[in-house]
Amino acid sequence: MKEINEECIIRFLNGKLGESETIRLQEWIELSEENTTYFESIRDIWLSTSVFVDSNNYDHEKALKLVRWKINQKSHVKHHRRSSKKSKTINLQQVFRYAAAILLVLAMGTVAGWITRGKISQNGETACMIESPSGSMSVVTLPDGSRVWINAESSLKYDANFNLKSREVLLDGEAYFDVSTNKEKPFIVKTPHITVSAFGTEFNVKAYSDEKTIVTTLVEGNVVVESTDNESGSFKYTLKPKENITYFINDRSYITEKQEPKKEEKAAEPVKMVEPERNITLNKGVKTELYTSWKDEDWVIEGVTLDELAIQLERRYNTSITINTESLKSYRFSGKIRNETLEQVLEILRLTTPMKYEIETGKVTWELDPKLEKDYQKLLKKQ
Amino acid sequence: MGRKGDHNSLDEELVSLLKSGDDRFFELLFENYYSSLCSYATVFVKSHDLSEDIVQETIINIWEQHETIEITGSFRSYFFRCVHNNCVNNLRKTESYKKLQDRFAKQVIQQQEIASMNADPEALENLFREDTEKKYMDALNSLPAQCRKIFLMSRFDCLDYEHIAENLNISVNTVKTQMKRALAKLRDAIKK
Repeated sequence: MKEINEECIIRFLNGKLGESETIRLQEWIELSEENTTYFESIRDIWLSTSVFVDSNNYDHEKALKLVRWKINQKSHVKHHRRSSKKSKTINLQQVFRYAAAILLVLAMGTVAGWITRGKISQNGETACMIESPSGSMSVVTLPDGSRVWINAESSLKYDANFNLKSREVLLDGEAYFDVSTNKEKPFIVKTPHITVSAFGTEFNVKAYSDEKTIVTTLVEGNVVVESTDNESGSFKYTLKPKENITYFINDRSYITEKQEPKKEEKAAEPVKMVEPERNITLNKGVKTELYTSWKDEDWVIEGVTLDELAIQLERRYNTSITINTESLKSYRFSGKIRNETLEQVLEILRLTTPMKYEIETGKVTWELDPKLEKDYQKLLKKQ
Repeated sequence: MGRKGDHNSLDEELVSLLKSGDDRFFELLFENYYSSLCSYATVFVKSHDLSEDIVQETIINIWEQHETIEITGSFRSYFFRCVHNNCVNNLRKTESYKKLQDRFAKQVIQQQEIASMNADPEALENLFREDTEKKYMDALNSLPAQCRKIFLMSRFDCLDYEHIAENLNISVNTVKTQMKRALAKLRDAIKK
């Protein structure tokens, strides 16, 4: 057994001492006053060195952005909470309709590491691109004062003319816009298939290039959504608050397929207008937080199939998820996720759906757990 | 890093920006104190991520009270003390965390307890005094270059003796002797 010496204390102070050695150190410190004083003298050197010497070991610029984001976020969260309070009770009833039980997981521990600043690259004076890689999220304030939350695997571009005559941005992926009001200069979000214009409002656009739909959700004010695809029938629609419009990209078979399962849960769905001819679906009276809370402290999920959820988790946690059992894909999950690690989220899913999972580095596999499924069926029959 | 030897005017500016709710406060604070606050917190919480979280939360808390805040003593010592307290408070939070991840929590609590053992406010306050800083910096600067380098590698890069030896291509024994020397000098400097 190694004796306790200054090297051991230093390893402890640096967070490098193992569990059993830490216990031994603790016992040693308590053994005599002399030991305690010796330990404290080295600890105080460690503390005072951080106070007096610049270390630059931390990325203070990144942290500054994050803190600004958190402060901004707090006022936002309050704002959203107020407007969503009314639906709390209905919320619970609906949730029981789904196979999954609701689980409210409250924040414990620390703010997760998935919020990191995206890369900002600037090509001379001509263009600016803000990118959130997989497993991260960015928030930026544009030159006009508008704020944009950029979800994982998404990017936002604008050029030097931004805010001169109009405010035009290109979106790839998902973003939430809090547009500062300016009646003279419209704020225009362009995606490969649709364009959203606004003068001052809050809305969410989800337009991942690997997905077959583009979903625009309006929280406040109004926006005009129009298609830029000539081939698939153009449309122009002015969204009102709490409305959302889904545009199906040039694929009719997808619409019918997609609409089928939704009919069963019609009671839980808001009023809906389907226009298959035009490849769009309009939802009225939606709970906007279901579409926008990815950026908030509490990510609210309601009746999302594991299939869909897997895609969102992949982006959020920079991982890849494979579902090995087909029937598992249609199980639905509802709940609130607040800063949980991927492991914690998986554990929640395991408790609320008949699923078992395995984690390898950068890879997760989900499988149906037959035993759990039986218990599940029993439980559902009882209800 | 333009802060050396000019804490007073920096701190005065920070306090006035904070009190008037001017958000240039953040840039100044982060540039000058963020790394120091984090490495300070790491002594208690043993995780770089957690220490950054604690420092950031501390900053946010202080900012949120900027209208009513009363800072007694120097701004710097006030801030370090807040971080210190929040590290200790974190211990309580981890106890509730315990139910989720038992083994991990136990270790964190243990380490925090040991690190903050007897860290009474008065002794900590002593660490921030200007004459302590002068004595400390004099002692650090009087160390031979290699000795200082070894000490700083141990402190800030958190390297084990073997790794420092490897890095500098010297023997582990040399590292040991030099560390002992550095610690003895610095210990004298910060003695009450």
